[in-house]
Amino acid sequence: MRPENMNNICLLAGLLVLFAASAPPVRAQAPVTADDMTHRLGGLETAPDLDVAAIRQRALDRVKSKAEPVALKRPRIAPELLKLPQLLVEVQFDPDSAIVRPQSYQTLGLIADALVRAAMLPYGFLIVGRTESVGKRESNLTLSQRRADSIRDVLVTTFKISPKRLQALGLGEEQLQDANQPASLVNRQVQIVTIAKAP
Amino acid sequence: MVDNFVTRAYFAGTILANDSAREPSKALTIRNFIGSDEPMVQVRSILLILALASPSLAAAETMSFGDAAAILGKSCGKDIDDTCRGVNFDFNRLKDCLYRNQDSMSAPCKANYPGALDAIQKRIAARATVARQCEYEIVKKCHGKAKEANKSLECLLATPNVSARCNQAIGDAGYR
Repeated sequence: MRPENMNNICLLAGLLVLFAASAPPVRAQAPVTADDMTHRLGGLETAPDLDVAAIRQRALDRVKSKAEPVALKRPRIAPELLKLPQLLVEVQFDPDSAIVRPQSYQTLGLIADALVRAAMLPYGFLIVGRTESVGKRESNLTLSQRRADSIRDVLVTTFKISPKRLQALGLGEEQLQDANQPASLVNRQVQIVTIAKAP
Repeated sequence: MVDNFVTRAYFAGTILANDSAREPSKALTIRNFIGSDEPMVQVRSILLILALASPSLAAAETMSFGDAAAILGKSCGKDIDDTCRGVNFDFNRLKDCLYRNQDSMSAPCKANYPGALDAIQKRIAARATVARQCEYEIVKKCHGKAKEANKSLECLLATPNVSARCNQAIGDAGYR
């Protein structure tokens, strides 16, 4: 082989290596994309007449009065939320804590990406924390509120989403996703619900 | 990205073409660029390769929050568990904790956490540039006010022929 051709091959190989090195990193596998989230959260025509503080109080009263003791038969405390645009996300926390596990950082980043999209800026959202029906109902209610607050805090402090657009609500095991399987982990899923629209 | 690549290739090619024009004995071909035995031409060839392969600063869109957070979680998950347990995904607190524990940090975390945190900050900072970079479009095409750029975003996204710098600012801020 002529030295000239050898030069060509070496330089072309170098070119390929450099291109490979500068290629964007492969995206990590995510349950949904920010585009999916935007699609699911959009479309609220009229803001609902929703009193978040009243729902919180309703959940607390029900837990304290020990009403609806059988989780399997327990109706959802806030069925009105189900009629609104929403998405369910799995966010992992440290046990009995509101500290978000690093495995879920990406999920919170994706939520932030969705909320920043121009189409989403007029909307306000409710972050609903929930638990499965294991352990004490009152503790679960408190823990779910702390976890919803924690997600809100991350979105506000780390991604600078306006706090005016976000409310947090913990419903413990009073809003089971799958009432037929109260102990299922699916009941831990966090609900992000579109609840407000700027005029 | 393609435009940018072409632009960089064009400029690199132009420089080389101008230099080669001073040497009338040799035709301007890729074979002469890459295959030449002359040291100067080889150096230029390497520069051309670097120019083509290096990421562009001018047109680089910021990283999404999702990607930056994924890098942080994947690179530093164990480090956060080991040394920052109890610290939430709060930008300043997590950054302080990681910085304090750099000596005992894993190599991937050490290599990636500053970039991931920086990417989050850059995307946030980009929001402030939209009003400035898109002022003409906001005022002339969307009949809005630069101070209230957020109110004109949907119009900007729907407006054809928005300037490149405005387009870039919108993308960098993650509004699209």
